[in-house]
Amino acid sequence: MKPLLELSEISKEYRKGRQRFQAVTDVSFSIARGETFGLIGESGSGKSTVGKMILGLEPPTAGTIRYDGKPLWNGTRFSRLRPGELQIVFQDPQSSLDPRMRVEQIITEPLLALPEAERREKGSAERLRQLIARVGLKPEHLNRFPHEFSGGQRQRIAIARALITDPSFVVLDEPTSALDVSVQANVLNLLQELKRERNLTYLFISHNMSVIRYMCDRMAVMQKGRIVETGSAAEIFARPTHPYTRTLLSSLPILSTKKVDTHV
Amino acid sequence: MNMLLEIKNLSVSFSSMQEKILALRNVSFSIQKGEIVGIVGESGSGKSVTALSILGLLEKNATIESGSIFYKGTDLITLERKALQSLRGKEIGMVFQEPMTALHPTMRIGAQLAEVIRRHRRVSWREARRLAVESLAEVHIRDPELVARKYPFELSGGMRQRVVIALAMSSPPELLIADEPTTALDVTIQHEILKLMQELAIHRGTAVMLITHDLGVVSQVCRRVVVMYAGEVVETGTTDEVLRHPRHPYTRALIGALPDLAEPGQPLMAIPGDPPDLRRRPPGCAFAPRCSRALPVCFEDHPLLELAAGESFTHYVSCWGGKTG
Repeated sequence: MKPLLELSEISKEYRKGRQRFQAVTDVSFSIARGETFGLIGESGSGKSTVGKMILGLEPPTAGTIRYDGKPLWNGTRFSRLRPGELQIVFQDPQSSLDPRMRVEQIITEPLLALPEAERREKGSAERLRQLIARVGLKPEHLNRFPHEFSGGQRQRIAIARALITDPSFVVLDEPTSALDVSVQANVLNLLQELKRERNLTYLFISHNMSVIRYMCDRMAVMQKGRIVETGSAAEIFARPTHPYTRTLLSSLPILSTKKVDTHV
Repeated sequence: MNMLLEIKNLSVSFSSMQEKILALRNVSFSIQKGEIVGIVGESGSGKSVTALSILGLLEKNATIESGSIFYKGTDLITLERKALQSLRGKEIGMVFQEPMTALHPTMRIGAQLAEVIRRHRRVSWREARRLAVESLAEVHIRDPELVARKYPFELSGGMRQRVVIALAMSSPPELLIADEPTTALDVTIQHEILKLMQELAIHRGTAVMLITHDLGVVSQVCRRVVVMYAGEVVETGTTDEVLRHPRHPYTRALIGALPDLAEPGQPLMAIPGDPPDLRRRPPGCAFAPRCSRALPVCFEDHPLLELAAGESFTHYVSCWGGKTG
């Protein structure tokens, strides 16, 4: 099957004067339509830089990224196929939502990138009402400011904002890392449902292995800018081959191996 | 009995904008010498307020409504400020989530440690400096001489947290209060810091009160667990009892919400609704409005923390339905 997203030997080097820093080195992987692909690594491993290059926020210094068969970058120029096709949800909704904007403005802002006719159609009051109801918000919330919401609600706002343009591909960069466990469960459930309903493809970036195991079909493990292991999530968790993956897994708290009686 | 810390019916309120918020309600638990006890709960459950109460570091708008905090038999609440201050840092150490806030940004690591050592021990600067390097080695810092000459900003997050632990352990304390000590750290480093705390508990007999939202961390290092919800202790027992045979519906829901145990593709167990508004506590159980097993009595009367049915003398639960399981 033809992949939706294909990274071939992507590298990213940051330069400042004579200093050079290689953030990402020869990263290759592909994601099929409808798949959830996990990118796991510790802080500084380069996983978020990969996300930025896919979204057009940072040009790669080498390699090609193809989306639906077409290259995303021509040199340092990002060539989008359709505005709003790729979207992102960031880790911390406290800092990713503009505190001076009302929720309605925040959610509809991405529409500004769309052509006039499409903008009017996608920004209709009816469509907005349906979308916020779907992510678990109420119509009266639209007129409020981000600080009036809990962390979980703010992340629902961020999800609605990402979905307003009807994207096919969403990068989820640590979407639940700042949330309490029970709130995380709600957000992960919502993301799974939305994926099924809208036939979305996810790149799920996280440092949390339990979340990756639960959410992803396939995954890649990053260490110091390189991918050290790629494969199906089930396979990697059952039989990790790279020493670094093994270290990560052995650091995982052992709750998962015990049988717990939780039926209510 | 080797009881080190015993909290009895502690209630703490905060006043804000002419309103009174009961942040802790009748909290009771104890910690024995050399024991690692996990205090688990989500944001707003009162875990950090409990820690600050013990340390005497509550904000000015906080009032201790009732209860006592016995440390080696002395009630810390009635203790004079001076006496508490000398206890804090010397016998009771603390480690917080963000190590940078605990370190002086423009002072070299060695000097910071030496200063703390001299505060609690009558030694020369030279000797204090030597002890400082020694304490860095004890928290497995590879090149302690080099690190002692560095400033906090020159160190990684994991290294900084080790330094903070070295600071807290330098006296050495009998009780270490650690509030989310590994939350800001990568998993591999988290693992090492937890191992380090376990070592300190075993070799030095330091008791650790480990505040965390992470049940995985609890299962890794704690002997006993205290589960808090809306400022109350809802369940406590050995780690095995609480995590493998949870009796309180909130504990069960919390474990069910973890992706660790879920089948991929199956929805996670979610808890409906939100935690209660602490300004308007329901008369009955605080969890009742969100509980799938709530009975009429749960909304009217507050349950007491009582022994769960069974063989155990360590497993307590505060639930009308959970005692019989």
